[in-house]
Amino acid sequence: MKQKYQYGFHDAITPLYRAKKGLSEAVVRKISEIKQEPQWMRDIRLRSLAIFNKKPMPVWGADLSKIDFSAITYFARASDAPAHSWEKVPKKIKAAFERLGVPEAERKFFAGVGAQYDSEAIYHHIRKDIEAQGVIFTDTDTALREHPDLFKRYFGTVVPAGDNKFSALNAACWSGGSFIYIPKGVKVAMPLQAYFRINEKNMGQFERTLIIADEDSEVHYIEGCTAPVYATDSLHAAVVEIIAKPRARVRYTTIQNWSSNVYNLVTKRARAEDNALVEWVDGNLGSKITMKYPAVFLVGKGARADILSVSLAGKGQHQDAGAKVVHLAPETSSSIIAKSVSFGGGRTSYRGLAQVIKGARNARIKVRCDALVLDTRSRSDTYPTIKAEENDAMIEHEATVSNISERELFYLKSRGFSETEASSLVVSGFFEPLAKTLPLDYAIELNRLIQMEMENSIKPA
Amino acid sequence: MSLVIKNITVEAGGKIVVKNFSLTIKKGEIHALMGPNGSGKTSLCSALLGHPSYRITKGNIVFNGKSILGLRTEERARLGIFLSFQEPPEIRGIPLSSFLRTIAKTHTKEKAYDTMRALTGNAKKIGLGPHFLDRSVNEGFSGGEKKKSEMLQFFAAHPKVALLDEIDAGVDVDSLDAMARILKKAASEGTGMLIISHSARIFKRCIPDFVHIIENGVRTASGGKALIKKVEKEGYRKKA
Repeated sequence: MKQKYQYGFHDAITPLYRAKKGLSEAVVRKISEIKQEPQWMRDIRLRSLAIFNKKPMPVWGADLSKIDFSAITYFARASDAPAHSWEKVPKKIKAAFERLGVPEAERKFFAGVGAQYDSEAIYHHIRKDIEAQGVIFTDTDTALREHPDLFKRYFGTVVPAGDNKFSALNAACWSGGSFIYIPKGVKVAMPLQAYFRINEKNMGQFERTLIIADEDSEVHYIEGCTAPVYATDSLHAAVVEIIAKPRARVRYTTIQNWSSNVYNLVTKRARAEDNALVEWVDGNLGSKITMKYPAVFLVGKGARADILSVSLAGKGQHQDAGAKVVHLAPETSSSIIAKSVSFGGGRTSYRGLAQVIKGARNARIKVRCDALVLDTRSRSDTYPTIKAEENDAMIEHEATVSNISERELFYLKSRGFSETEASSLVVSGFFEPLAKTLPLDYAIELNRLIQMEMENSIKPA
Repeated sequence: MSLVIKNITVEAGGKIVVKNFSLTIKKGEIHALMGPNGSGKTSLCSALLGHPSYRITKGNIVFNGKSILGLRTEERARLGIFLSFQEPPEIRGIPLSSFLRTIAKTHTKEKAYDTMRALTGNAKKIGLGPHFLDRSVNEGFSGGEKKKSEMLQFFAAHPKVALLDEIDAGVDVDSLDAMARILKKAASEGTGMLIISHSARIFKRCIPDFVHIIENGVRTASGGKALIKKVEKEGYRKKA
């Protein structure tokens, strides 16, 4: 039996406000006005818009030529303000999230949960005991109002607007996202979770996430994303900035399961100071095209980066994913593991940068890319870039491409598994390193998603 | 239960690998199949399970009164036909324990829980400790360990008929004793078997009801267990 993309439903919710389609100075001013922002933020937006207009479309990666910027809605408001208790979330939106299992998840194993619907957060909640330790976990709009000093000090410092065309677009139109501050020495044992949902047609979602982990602190942040299935495309261009102060540990996990009509063009970057550890766990299952290369700038002595990028590309999908590490200080080390599966005509690319800047003595970098290509219609490419300005840098790069051999397939079939079951079994095994990093419920969900994706794309021979 | 191989001819890679071969395996019967290297034993097994590279150009395979020629490999497996591989592949990332559990669920349904409990005991008896069950299926296993993994899969699948292709190869004596006991018990509970081996070792522990010799894809002799002794003494060429 064929299963459809489970989160493809659309809710009949009329936004309180919806900007006119297309991007203009007027739209950007309107977003800023509705949010009653200070002048400096409005100026940043307008400057960023100018940068966006000036920058050409990137042509070095996936095919973005079909994006029609004039057909997109850049801002839609679903509720007046984020609710802090689930009861206060508008009924219809609540029903939508309940179908996605969001509040249920919170009760089980999260220290805090946020949920964003189109442009803005509709819910944010943090456990009292965590808040009492000085932890801030709120949506980014609220943070701008309530924590202007912290905000101004760090916003745009890791990913400047001019970094790339889509970071400029985000800086011009940003709305929502999570803002996290972990005070010195505070270790948050349970993960903080955010859920992003696009509901409007042709919607652009530009959330902005900023995480500041102060000295000796620890936090794990998990985000999930879904959208309805429409015949026309939506755009998700988020920016995530992480600042890991000396000896802080931050893990950022994404399970992206956008519907197959979403362009997912996200800039994620972290700054790791002395002996800090930043881990990106990046799972890309959905979307039409994803371009995403979580990065860590190792600016402090002894800083470490650990990046696991996993992608699954089926029919009509191109996952152009990878990672970047830039070693700017001595004794820094990084590990990149990229695993991708392409099937049913899908395409995966690994694109990575491993760079050692002059002065970053004794840097160690380990890169491993494993691609699994399930059929001859599918494709996988690797584009690694290595630049080392210090002779003592130890850089390892390993890449493998494999497929499911006829032998393996026959073996599994002889145990009673169908072609689809056999393939998803092998794919789940291939993704095991990702599943291992996830809370149990997420890991089970991941396996279910893999099976669903495979069922949608693999036809029995 | 009966598996009737009716005069089949099998082609692979443009060559005839099995020719006019017939054999009937009934409930609880233990058949031994012996023959020199390259005589078609493994090809026969692959063809019985519907391997796409082994084409049956003549004859029929009938399971419980129905031809299974039109069935896919997994459909034949779900009917209760099991094949233990001479050279099992490694399946990365899937712990053997969860693989066995999935097999047990597929084949023994609501009895899966009991199957798995008994299986853990059997694993110990054949010399596969709990740490093996945590490892990926066959990954980094020695030859003998792979055979033990096949043995556990046989047990988890609880088949009606099992084709066991050199299940004894590379297995130490103590483990072989335990494996033979599991096979005998399964036969007494109704599983029909075709045990393929080069050595008489296993047949001393698990005495076959029938012995068949295959050479160049053709069945050249059949008889009782005495045939094994004869082959051991005189080789294949002088048996008949």
